[in-house]
Amino acid sequence: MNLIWSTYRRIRTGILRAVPWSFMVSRITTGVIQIIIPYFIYVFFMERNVTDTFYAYAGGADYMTYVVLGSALNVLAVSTLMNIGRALITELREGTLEMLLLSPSPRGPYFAGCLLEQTTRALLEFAAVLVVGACCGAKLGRIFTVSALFAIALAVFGFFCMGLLLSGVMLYTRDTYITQNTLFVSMSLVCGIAFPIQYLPQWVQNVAQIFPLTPAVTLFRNVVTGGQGLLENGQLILQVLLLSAVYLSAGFLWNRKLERSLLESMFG
Amino acid sequence: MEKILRVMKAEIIKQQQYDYHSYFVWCSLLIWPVLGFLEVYYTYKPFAFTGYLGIHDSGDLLAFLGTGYMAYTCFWSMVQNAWSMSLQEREDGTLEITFLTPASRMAMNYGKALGALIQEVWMFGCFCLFVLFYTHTLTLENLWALPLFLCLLLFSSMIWGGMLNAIFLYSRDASMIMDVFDAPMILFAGTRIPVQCFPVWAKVISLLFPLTYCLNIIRFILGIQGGGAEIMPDLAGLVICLGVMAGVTAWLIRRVEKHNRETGELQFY
Repeated sequence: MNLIWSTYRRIRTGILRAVPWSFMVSRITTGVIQIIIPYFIYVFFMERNVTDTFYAYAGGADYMTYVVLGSALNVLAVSTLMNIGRALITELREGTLEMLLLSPSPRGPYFAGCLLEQTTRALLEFAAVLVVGACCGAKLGRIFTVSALFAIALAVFGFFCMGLLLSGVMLYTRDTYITQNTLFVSMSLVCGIAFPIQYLPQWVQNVAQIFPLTPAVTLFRNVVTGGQGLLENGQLILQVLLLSAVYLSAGFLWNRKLERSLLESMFG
Repeated sequence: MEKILRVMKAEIIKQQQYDYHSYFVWCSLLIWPVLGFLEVYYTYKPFAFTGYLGIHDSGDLLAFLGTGYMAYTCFWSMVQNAWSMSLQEREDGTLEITFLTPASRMAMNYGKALGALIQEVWMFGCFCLFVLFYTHTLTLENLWALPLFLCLLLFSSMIWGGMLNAIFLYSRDASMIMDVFDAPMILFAGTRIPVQCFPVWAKVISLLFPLTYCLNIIRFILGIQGGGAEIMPDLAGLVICLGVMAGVTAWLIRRVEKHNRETGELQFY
């Protein structure tokens, strides 16, 4: 617990002192633009001409609510993946990885501290997107129910597990820019953020199932717009948990192997 | 003049060597815009076409989005390049060279933006092929316009990238400027949605971005949603916009240098 707290404080202090604005402003702008573009298309360009196919795919949700819920969860996914994924390589770049690897502290609480630090920031971004969305006409009345909050927490857990694997990939390739952007662009295309994935070819829909975001966003929408309970969505919850377990174990094994070889190869 | 060109060339070569070291980089640079392009295309799927502004079916839409993306990727790559380079230079401790060399600061600044030159030509080429073969908007009659488009986009995006670059010199936290300028540019410049259907306040914002004028000119020449449009106001707007930006860039660079000399810090990070 102590370790989680001190990791939290260390990262937070660093961010507040060095780059207080960049990370949050950038993700809020991206999230808001992700709503505003469909809003402009919907209201000004296509003049609310939504097809019946959309309503069938979206389970009766209206267009703006559909888009806003998707974008908000996407913001949460991007920030969790980005911060957990970049944790180790940032240590490497700032020159503190060696200390971290040589210290007796276990990696679990370290990542938990990173998660705690970033989730408190990401929820602000999430809220900002929802508020703008509500101004654009999204109906978000059911967002404060227990089921919706559970769906959000489950989603964050899924993203966290995926982030662990991502942190190994980034450290291995020594790259953040290309890995993260490729991942995020693909996720926002295939996971059903701004449009139902049923429009995509079948094989792309199948591929989309490997991202926790796909079932998580469906669950979130079912709970908030459909007013469904958690029990009705057992299959989606199971899918997120299963994916999390796979990513968690893969990330754990890879990171352990990588750390050993790093200690051999990098440090004198 | 020769000196200035030499400085710019040196900056371009430096960045090419730093950033474009493998085929992987080239591929991913193309993959992002293509994936983004597909995303926008699918974002339109839930809607029924009404023929508004000359867009009747998905073919018209693809031509519209294709040109939008062709121009936007050029701007985007300049800015992205300038941003990542200034961040790397800051981390590596070479950013202060900007103020320590006798070379022209403006030339270095534009050289940094132009580091994305080859990347830009490559992406432009790929999107052109797409527009050419898939949407049939490019025909033999207007093929002459391609080099013109490329020069237009290169020059305007260089001025744009140079201005943002000068802002990045201020602080490492300035990268947020990129997002503040880049994301709204996608919306307001009309890359994905025709500017003509915007409400008045949004039209006014769109006048701030040089990309708006570039897109209007390109779409006018290709005959996409060109009914009743004129090219002269856009040309004039582009010239004024770029002129103001070049002025702002020069002012910013002088200001940053003065500020840093006064506080006694020519070293960054």
